[in-house]
Amino acid sequence: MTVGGQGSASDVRAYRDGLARGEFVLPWCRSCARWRYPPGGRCPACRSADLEWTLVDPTGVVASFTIVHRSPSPQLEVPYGIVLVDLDATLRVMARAEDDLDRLRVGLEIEIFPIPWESSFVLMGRLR
Amino acid sequence: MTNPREVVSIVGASELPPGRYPHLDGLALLREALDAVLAASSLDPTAIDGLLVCPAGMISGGVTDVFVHERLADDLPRALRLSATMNVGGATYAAMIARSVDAIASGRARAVVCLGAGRFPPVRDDRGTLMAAMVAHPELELPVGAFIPALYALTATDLLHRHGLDRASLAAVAVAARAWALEHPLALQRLRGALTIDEVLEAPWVSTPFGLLDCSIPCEGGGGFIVAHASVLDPSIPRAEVLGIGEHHPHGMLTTARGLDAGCASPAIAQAFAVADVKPDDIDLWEVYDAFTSVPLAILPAAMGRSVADVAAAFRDGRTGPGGDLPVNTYGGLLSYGHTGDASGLSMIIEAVRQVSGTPIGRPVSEAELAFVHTYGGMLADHVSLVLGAQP
Repeated sequence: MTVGGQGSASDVRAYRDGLARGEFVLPWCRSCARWRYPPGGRCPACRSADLEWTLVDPTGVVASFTIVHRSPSPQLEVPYGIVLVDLDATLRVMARAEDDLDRLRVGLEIEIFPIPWESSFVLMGRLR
Repeated sequence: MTNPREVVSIVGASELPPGRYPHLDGLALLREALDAVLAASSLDPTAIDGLLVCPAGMISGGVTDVFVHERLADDLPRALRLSATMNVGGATYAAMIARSVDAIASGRARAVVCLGAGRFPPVRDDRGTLMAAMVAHPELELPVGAFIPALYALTATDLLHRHGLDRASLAAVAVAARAWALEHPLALQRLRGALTIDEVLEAPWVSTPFGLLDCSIPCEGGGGFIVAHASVLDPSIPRAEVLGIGEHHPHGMLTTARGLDAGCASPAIAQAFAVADVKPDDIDLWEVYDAFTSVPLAILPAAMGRSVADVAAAFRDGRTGPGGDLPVNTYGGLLSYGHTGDASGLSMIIEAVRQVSGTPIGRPVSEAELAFVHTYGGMLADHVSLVLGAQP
């Protein structure tokens, strides 16, 4: 499937559709061989709209983390973790962690997966 | 860029005391700020031909009045040659200096009044998420549970891990800020007494590695200054000369930042030093936007030309505090002076101007001739550095 290249609504929809299937997919620029993150219709480097929604390997490494003790919103129960996950050398994503918070350390292997959250989805991280 | 050394100074730097102003809305705060700046500058208001304004928008989750400069235009006596609403987060006011210097250097303005007001509400209910919506990606970061202290905590975890530091290094930054605040008559925490490392470490958790005392103090305020060509200034008016400016905008959101440390700020820092043609050893005082304790430890090494470990040791050994040889945030910083929301990028500039112009209202830094200021906005996304100097 090719990204339409017409603004962000279709990009967000394709991203959410992937999460709804339980898949983390992102646009991949075939000419630059790099992820288009955040998702968008054109590659910022080469301006190509020839982007392909591609399944991302969900295993990565904890780049940084924090354990939140004060909730920013009544919908979120503390404590929970926020993790920056390096999926490859050029792709970092943010995920929420709810299990094994005491074990969180920089450099550990972690797997990401989507779950429904409010009217959309959120990426979760689970230590391997 | 034209070297601004010959042409441009900052006068009239003043600020409402940080606090709560329940009887004033954002526009009323801006008018108070304008009054204070005009009174402090001793400048004939008919000399003012430029206006840059940042409205208080944080209270509404970043929704700002983008025409607020028009609402203030009739408070000035003459038609303007430069007028705009500006927001670059915490870097807004240093960026206003950059825009003003460019306009003055190219002959499009002579005296630009730069103003801001801010209302940083207490963080409760959904407010944390609302504020995070200003700086976090709505699909990719916000639903994760991102809020501003947690996002900065991610940079702090990285800093501590990368440089083998512990939370006591962060705490030392809060301790130094408090020591300066005790001697500043407007600092919010001036009556709270000195802090100890242990008190900072034992404060309730916010988001690891930050406890409550690693975070700045929310409050309200406003203020500004006038950036002016020497030809409109009476020689007797105290001023700080703008010697160097550097600017850098490396990314849009935390997750896409290429590195979470000073790497994203160093091009701005290097440019400011290069334009001013000075070295870190020449600097007499350092004013750096310190929304959280980790930020001075991330930014100052690039400015001081020292390692992170060296800078952390300087904080722990009292060298950055009152009487030290590397004075940092000599008014208490956002950590102990107060964080006025959208106006928070003002206080470190105002302090630098007051120190180098010989008009400090807190503890004077001895022989304060050259100040370095670093401000940033968003998630370390917008960086503007300044080198300010005393009038020769």
